[in-house]
Amino acid sequence: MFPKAFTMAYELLHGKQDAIFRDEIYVPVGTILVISTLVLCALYYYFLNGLRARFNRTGHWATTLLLNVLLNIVAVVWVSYGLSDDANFGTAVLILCLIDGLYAAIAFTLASLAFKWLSPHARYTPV
Amino acid sequence: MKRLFIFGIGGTGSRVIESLVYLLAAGVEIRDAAGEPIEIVPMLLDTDADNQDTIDSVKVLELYEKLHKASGRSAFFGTKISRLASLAQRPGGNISPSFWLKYKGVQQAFGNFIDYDQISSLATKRLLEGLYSDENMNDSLTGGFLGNPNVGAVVLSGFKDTDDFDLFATSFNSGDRIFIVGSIFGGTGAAGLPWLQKSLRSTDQRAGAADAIRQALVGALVVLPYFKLETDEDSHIDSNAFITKTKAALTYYHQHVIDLNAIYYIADTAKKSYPNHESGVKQNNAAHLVELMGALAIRDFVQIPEDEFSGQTLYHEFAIAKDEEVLTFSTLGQHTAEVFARELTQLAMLAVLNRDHFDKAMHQPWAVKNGFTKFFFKTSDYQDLSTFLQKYFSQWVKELGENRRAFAPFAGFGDKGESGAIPITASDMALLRPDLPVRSKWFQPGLSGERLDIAANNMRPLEYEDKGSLQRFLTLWSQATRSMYDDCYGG
Repeated sequence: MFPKAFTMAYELLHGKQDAIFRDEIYVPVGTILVISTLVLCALYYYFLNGLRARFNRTGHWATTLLLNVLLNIVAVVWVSYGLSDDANFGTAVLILCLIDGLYAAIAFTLASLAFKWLSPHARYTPV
Repeated sequence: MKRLFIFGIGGTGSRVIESLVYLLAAGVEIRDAAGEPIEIVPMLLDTDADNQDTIDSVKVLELYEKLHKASGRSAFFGTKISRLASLAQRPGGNISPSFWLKYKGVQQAFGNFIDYDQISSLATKRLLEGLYSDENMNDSLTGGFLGNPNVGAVVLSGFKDTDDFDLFATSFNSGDRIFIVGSIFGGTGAAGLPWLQKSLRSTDQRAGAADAIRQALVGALVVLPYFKLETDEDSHIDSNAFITKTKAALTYYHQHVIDLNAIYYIADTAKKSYPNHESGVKQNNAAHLVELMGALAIRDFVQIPEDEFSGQTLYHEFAIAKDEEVLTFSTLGQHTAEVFARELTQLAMLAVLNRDHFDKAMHQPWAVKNGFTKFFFKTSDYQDLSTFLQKYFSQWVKELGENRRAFAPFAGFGDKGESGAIPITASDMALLRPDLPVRSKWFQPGLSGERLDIAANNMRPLEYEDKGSLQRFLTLWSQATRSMYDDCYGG
């Protein structure tokens, strides 16, 4: 179910691409996105803002979101590195980087809305 | 609720009451022997209409009164303080609306006050000339008694004929107590203390609950010299005479002030010389440890069970644990420190947060969930709290720490840049109590605004007071600072 969902989600913005994306890129990139989002959210809301009360400004949250975006962009490059020699592959990967970055931002925002309520010191971050 | 009527006589009386107000603001409780809370009714008696000490005390009392009404279930400002006028069924007339009881007849020279020129008997005139110098006769009473208790004794006796005294007498109920505070090395206190004691017990006194007043438990704080004044030949007051005047007053009291149930004596080696301002706005002496310890006498008197008096006068003195120039809670004496160290430390934390932190903490969960937006911090209620903490409490702590003997329980209240001053900001309050530094642990902030935010965020939701109200704010912060004190200083 998850592989199919990842493929659908990425193809929604990425369009029809080579089979290599469906077979070898979307699923690991999507998995990394989910894991990194959950881990970063947990770290931000329950570790950082569980022990301290100085990282709960919107700016700190936005920085963590940006970190999630960058992490996932790097993940796309890392997963797709050396998989194809096709001349258009690089462009397609670059576009996927942007899409994955966007999804990472959206995923982090949605996860934040769920995680924040149990956070001792960031339950009103970002809003 | 039983009441304690406190007469604060003269500048020292008002300063002791001011110290009491800070203790009550911090959450020190005044309860009787049965543990029931007591309502405090302070009455300041000072004929020096411009005495800055008394003016400041009145302002502090008025702020406290407002903040108590807004304090709800908070430990801060928890004890009820009422002005005498508020006890009147029908306020008005000649009842003083303020905590400062002012009565007619003192806006003139002493000679005019006693109608010296109208006295026809030559013998009486000669007697008065023997008792009072020309200077005494011609000095205006609006500046107080300028260290002359012989003048004060006559002028103050008029107070018992005022509407204020009537109101006090009619408001008095059986079981209420009376406490008198005054110094005996000046004019007003030295004159007022014996006169007031006699007036309260006098069988000629028929106003209101005269019998209940005659039988009431009356305590007095007799403040002996604890400071000097700079020598000034133009001044009426020479502090070299303080000891002599004190001896004379004590000799008189020994024979004539015999109807008090408890007497608290307090004094200190005079280590500091104040500027010699005999009266008026310039008489603005720095707060002193003696006044603070004097305020504790009031608390002590209230909680003594009635049967302990059993017809005898209880005498009390006060001692410190270490004879040092600068005292902290650790050197003051454990028994004394236990009475107010936690509470005063909590209020000091609140003052530092108010000064450095709250305006940067409106995003914290404690602020958001309780409705403490930027509008709350601009309300008149909050501004009153801020004024109380910054203009008065912080200044009082600073003065206590700079006086000699000094009581400097907290760092961070002195002037910045002063040699030896420990800078304290909300971002690092580890040395707030220099006698008990707070060490930080890995990834756990030391005592700071952040750690206090953590404590406030962890408080259970406050459901019983309006969101965004000062009640809720004070309740939250009395709980949070209490929890922080227990964490950092071991309860």
